[in-house]
Amino acid sequence: MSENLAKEWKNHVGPKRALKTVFYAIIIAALVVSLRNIEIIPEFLKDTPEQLMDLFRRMWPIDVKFLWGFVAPSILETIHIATLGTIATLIITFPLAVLGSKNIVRNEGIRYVMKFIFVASRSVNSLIWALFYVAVFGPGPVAGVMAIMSRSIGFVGKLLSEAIEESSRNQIEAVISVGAPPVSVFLKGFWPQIRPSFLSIALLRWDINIRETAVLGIVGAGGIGLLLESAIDVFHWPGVAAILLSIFVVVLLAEFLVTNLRKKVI
Amino acid sequence: MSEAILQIRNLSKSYFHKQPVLHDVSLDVKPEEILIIIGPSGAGKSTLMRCINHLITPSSGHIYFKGLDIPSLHGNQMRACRRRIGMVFQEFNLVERLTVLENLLIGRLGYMKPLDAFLQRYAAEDIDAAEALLTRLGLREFALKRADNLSGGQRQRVGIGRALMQNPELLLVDEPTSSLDPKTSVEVMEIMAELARERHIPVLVNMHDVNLARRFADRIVGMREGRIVFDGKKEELTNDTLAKIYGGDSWMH
Repeated sequence: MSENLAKEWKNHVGPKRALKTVFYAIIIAALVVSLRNIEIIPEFLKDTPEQLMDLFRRMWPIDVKFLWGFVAPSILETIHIATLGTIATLIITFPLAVLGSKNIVRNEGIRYVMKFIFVASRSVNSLIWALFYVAVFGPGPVAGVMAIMSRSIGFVGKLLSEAIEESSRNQIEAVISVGAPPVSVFLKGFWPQIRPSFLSIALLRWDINIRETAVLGIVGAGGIGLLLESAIDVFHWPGVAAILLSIFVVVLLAEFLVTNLRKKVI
Repeated sequence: MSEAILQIRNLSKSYFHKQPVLHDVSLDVKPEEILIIIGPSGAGKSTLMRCINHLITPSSGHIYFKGLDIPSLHGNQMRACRRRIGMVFQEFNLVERLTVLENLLIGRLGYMKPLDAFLQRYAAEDIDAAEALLTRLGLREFALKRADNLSGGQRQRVGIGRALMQNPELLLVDEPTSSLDPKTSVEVMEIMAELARERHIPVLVNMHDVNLARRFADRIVGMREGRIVFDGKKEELTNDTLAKIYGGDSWMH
């Protein structure tokens, strides 16, 4: 018998090994083709260390006056855009996610409309949304809020819908069995089950939105990105350093806050 | 005996064509009796119970509950009927993240406006009633603990409390002890029977444990393959009838 199993094992594992070899070969081929295609010029790479050092030297010391006078208000605006965009997203998306969950809405048509909205929202990058809204509303934070919202609806909607669909049927059935009206069934059957996911998704998206808002200004949608672009345009490197440093600090703080809050929620 | 609280007439249910789960079942539940339905898994006991609470709509037949034909009810009428029937579940079905007290108060949701439920504005009488019940169930100290902190037996007692908070006129109990150990099973059945008798509530129980059924039933009904094959006092339940219900007798020795 053992001889038979050894043979079977060989037959079982042999084709898989061949498949693996082909897989690695494809990856290496892809790497080679891409490298040729983008044509890296070695001369430009050679002086990278000097260029880098030169940039750092021009950035140091950072412009402290600029930091408090211009960067701080701009960073604050960035946080406001991200926060407002996230809250608007949650208010709009909650009912949509409920309508998109198959254990609440039986009608497949309605659910597909919701899925379509979520996919459409996610398939467009926030920067592209921002370009669109800058054209509609003109440059400024309104376009930023709209862009953040348009991109977040799909993310929050998809995750929230999944959380609703994962609710335990047993707990819901008990609330139905006491004769509770549908709204009460949602409040006392579904909501306690999805609340941790909801808060967790909201915090996570807020964190992502702060990072995304930081670049939106490049296309004119308000926030720190706007300042960054102008600072680079006039080669004001100590200012650029101040901006990059503040973005880094804010993102780090947001990450820290969100991680700790999410731990408490769950 | 006076007139039946619940009259089931020619009830059938099939999920797939020509494969009935319930086959022409007729059954009466009389006031203040504890009626236990026994039978193997898949005999249709749970389906029967879910039809009574209209969690499932039967394919044909009638269920009369105090003059109402349950399968024909819809919307508000159906919910108004459901709140008069308490249900206890095999897996307890507590809302895990709510407190024990709020799980009991779920039994009042059929009588409350959704806005009051949202604001957690429960009537003072309801909280008093819940406190009295929790004390009887030995769970007073757990009132403000989350339901997922409790043991199996404690959870099932919360399930019983929730059903009794409805002030039900009938109690449906679906496999209440299948997830519990033997000692806890007896304790849970005891407190349930005691509370139901005090309040003069008839109880319909499903279970597959014959000894437990014998201990607590006034009347026993045996089901097999969607049909009632025995209906009588527990003294009339012989080994022959048990063999008929469960099939074969090798499991008895």
